Amino acid sequence: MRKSVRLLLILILCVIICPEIIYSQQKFYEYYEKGLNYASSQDWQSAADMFKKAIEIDAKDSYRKRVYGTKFIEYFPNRELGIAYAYLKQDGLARQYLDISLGEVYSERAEDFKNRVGNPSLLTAVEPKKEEPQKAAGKTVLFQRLHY
Amino acid sequence: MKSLSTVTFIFFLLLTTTFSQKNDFNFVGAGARAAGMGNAFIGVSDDATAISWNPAGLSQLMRAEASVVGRYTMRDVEFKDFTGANETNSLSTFGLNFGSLVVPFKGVFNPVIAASFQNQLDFTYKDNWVEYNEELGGEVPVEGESDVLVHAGSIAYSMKFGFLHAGVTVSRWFSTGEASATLQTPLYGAVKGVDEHSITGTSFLLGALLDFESLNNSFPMKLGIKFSPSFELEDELKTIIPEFNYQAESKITYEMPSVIGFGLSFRVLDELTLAADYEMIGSKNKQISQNDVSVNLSESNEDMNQFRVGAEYLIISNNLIIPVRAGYKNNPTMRADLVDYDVEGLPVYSGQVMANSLNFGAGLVFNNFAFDVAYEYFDFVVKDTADGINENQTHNFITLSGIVYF
Repeated sequence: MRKSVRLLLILILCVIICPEIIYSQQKFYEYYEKGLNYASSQDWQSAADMFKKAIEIDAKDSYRKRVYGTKFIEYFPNRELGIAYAYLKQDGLARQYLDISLGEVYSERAEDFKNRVGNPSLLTAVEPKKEEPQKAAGKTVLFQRLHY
Repeated sequence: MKSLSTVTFIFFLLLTTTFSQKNDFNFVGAGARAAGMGNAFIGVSDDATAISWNPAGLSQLMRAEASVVGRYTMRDVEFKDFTGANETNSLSTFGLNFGSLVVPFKGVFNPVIAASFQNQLDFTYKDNWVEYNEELGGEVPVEGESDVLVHAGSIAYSMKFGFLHAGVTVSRWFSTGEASATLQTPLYGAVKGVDEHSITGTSFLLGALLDFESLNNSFPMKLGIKFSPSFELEDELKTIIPEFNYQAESKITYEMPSVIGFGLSFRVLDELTLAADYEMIGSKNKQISQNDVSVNLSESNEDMNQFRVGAEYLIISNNLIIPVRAGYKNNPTMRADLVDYDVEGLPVYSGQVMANSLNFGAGLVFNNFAFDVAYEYFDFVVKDTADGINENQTHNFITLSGIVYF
């Protein structure tokens, strides 16, 4: 009995789990959080890479996106990717993703950065508060981003 | 001395068998969120209570969490004989049931460390009954009560390997409180005995969680597996009978059953999660022993097989998230119908007594705090056809949880 259980466990590990570990991926919010962390340290290329991976899994910007348990976060990968492209001076891609974000859900931050694209001096100006757009949309701020 | 031995032997039988009858040993995890979902939580395990359900689920957490759980228990036991006469015994208690702290760390494998405190076994009771013993002079009315609780202090470690989460919980069990019985004996008058229990043991809980949402072709389903090997609880028992200036020490061994459980959870929508568990508690051939006297942990001497299903729906408004939950489970007990006595006067039991639980729950979720409440109800009847007595038990539980997200 014990031998067969051991064999079964080894079989599960070798045949199913190991290959799946190689082909598994992180959750959308894990990529998104990493992107925000890279952005806060102004590593715009790494941030853009992470936001693109998040968008591959879940492409829709939202003020509330469920992560795990009963916890929700603000999730704006299109907007943040647009901002990263703006800092990388890829203005066309920046406008494209900021437009996608604004098309899905309005945020003052996306609108503000759309007006700054192509103007390096404006990009170095103080960024607007991230939470302001919710008030503009008539919502109370309840859900913030996760912090590593 | 013969009479003294008889009295102490009766105390052992009364207290030990009462102990086994007052607790169903069907220990489950903690938390009002899980309770609201019919305890179908092995495949969910994504909050600070995961340490008690499936420690593998802890590595899903990205923020530190702390939880506190309180539980209000109402238990009515009604004895009804064939003449229609009945006697009801009620007990209500409220106390801290569970507390935990979960701390995720930065790292490749999402390492998470957690610690918890939980009330595992509840031996509290207050009861009156009559025993018949010729050596004590015939009918002996007994008043028994106990405030003995068995707790577990636990630490857990969990990591994530791709879509596989793995975790282990190590628990140290210990008890508080004492049990006593007062016998109104025709020969010796009132005799009170006190049992001071010191129950200790160490258990392990191994868990795995396969999160299919982390696959390249993601699918919002999780499969949880948990296993807890059998272990022993040692009870260093001190029996004191002041009237006889008597004090004795002995050891009771509780063979605690192994537990293996499987759970599936499926997030149908962002707002809706469905879950189902199967759990098998290996109570067959497990015994409570003192010296040469042993009683089966389960009167029917059968394993306990439990199925649980539950659902959670999140009502999302502008300012609030309100979870509503419902669940159902079958509830196998350690009790069995008594059908006869053998030639030595020992009881002969038939099949396991089974109950069915209905659970409901709700909550309020904020950014840094969540509050949950759950209600559970079940009842069952233990038939003693040999003596013509039915025992109707009704159980109500209200569980309150608070979770703080740091």
